[in-house]
Amino acid sequence: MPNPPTGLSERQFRNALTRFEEIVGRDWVFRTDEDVALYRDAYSPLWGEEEERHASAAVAPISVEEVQDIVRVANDFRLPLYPISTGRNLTYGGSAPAYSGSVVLDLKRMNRILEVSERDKTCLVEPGVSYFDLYRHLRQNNIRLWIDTADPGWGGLIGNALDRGGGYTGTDFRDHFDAHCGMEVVLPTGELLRTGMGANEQATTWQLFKYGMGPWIDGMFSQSNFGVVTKMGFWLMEEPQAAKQVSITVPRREDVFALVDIVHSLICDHTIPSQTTVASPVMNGSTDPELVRLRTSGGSSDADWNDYAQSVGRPFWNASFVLYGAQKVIDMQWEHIRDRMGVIPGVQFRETASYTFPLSDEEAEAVPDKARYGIPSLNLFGSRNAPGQQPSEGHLDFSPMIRPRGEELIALYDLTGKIYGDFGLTPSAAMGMMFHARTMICFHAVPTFRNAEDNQRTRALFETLVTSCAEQGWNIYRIHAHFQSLGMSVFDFNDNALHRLHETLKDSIDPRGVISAGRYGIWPRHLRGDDA
Amino acid sequence: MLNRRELLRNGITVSVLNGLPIGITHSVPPVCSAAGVIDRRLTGAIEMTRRLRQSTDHLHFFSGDPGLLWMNTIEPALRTEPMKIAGFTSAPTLFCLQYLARDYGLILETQAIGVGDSVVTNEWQSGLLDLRDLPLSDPGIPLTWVLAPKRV
Repeated sequence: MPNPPTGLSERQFRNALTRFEEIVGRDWVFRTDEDVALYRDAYSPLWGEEEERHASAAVAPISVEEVQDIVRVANDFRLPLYPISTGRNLTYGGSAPAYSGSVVLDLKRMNRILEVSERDKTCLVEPGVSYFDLYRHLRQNNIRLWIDTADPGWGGLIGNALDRGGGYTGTDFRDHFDAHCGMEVVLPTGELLRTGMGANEQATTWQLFKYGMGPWIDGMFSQSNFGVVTKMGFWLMEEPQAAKQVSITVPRREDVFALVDIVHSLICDHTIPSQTTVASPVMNGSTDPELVRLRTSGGSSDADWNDYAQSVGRPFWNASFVLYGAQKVIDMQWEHIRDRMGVIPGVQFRETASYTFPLSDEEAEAVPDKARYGIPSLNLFGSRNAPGQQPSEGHLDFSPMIRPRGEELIALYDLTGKIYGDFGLTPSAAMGMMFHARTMICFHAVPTFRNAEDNQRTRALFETLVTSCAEQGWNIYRIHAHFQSLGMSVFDFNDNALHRLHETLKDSIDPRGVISAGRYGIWPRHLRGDDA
Repeated sequence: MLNRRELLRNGITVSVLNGLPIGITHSVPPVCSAAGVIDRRLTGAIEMTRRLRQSTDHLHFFSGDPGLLWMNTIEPALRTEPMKIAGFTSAPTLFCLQYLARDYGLILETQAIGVGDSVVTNEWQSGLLDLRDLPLSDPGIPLTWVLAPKRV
């Protein structure tokens, strides 16, 4: 059996697990090394090192009442719990706890789709419901609604939304936390809470109107440790009549200024409804030494880059997105977009796919870019190891957020390319992704390994990326569990006033510190070292 | 959802998967049902299809992305009965299926590179394939493998 959490004797730990067994049954408390190893972070940047975060056990309830009872027992023993929904968000820490020794509260068995209203275009689900589950339910019941899936799609709706993940379809749906409407939470005391209109048991609008009355507190339960979310409502997208996926390319490096400005304008005026990716077919090329030299130089000139682009025969930038709706509306939108983009010399337009809905199973299988049509997939894993690159075990996502401006996109990749080069690594692919209408998220893959030497370099690279980008005003929107204290530390206005408020709330709501200690840098008082 | 321990204890009756490469078949215990999954893009897929057809009628094909195959076929089957899965896929696909299938009590039992006879048997530790031991810089390199209910 793994070691007990710090502060608990082996006897106390055994007694706590016995109490858990009385609640959920013996089969659903996992205490052997073999079982607990399943909760290890498969992409851990600390794999095999002393500081790697490990669970001490896991407990898998099937009902809200069981969650409440488990939380109450945790309070009795001051036992740290770490709730997970499906625990598959590997690039952000997976199912391993933020605080070693925590007992994983595995909510995968709570996998009921409680309600789908085709008329209201909403659903209410439990934490174990995956994108696969909800997609399958909609298809099997011929419900003409779309999910907005994370990519890869093996995760759960609630876990992804609470970590503020994103998807690819319509503006109202792809910010997964923003697309939720109403939640049920087990507070750290074991008390049950419903937010928004759900605070009134007779309300018919729990999944339709977010705010209810009084302060709107749902945000407190995202990227935090103030409770265990046991239900969440979501808005679903009505299946469109048709969709057209398009690609717009521009030839020169400096064309990205106009390209991004126009894309941003078209998103804000609702002409472009979908997530839009602005990527560079030139900068995301092979491991050609000249490309690596340019990427790691810290700022090669437009002329040098354009010469290189000509030599490889590729346009410098590509913007790709999808138009959804009635076919004749799509045709007019596309005409308008081409008119707006026509001011860029050398711009080219391509229709890469067109669909009418519903799709048959065979047609859905054949869609190459499934997430853009609400179809969960595992396609991203096909690129885990790029040709010619050193095999790695996985990667961390480093995801700085910038203004949607071409000059900022170039400056970011000049900076991060040089940092990767300084650490002896090939720079990550370059792209700005507009999950949100008014910002770009620029994902970077930072490789992780299964040896300490390479991982030490990975961690140093990651920390340098975080701090260097923060100095430029490019903060991350989300971060792997190991780096969450670092991530919060750069949000330092007025001597980290925001973080201090988080901990003030933690002390009030979870005085015994039993829920997700350390998550997003929020530690309970007894683990902060300032309560002596 | 099936009780995980019940699943592992469940009845084991008919031997299948005799069509796997030498070295894999010897370690395959009898199970009550089995399926094969084949990435039709990989070199050797036709040969592996021929071999697996000798063992099971439940062969499923996909092209690179096993997501819909998992969602529509494999996971529903695993929810009803324990099953052994043989595969001919890239390493990233194996990683995905291994990760998903472990919630149903399946572990990686054997793996080999290509359709050849070189077999690596994984010890059950972290439950995850140690990718460093394989030439995985090219995701086009095929692996032959078996995921099987963990014996208790």
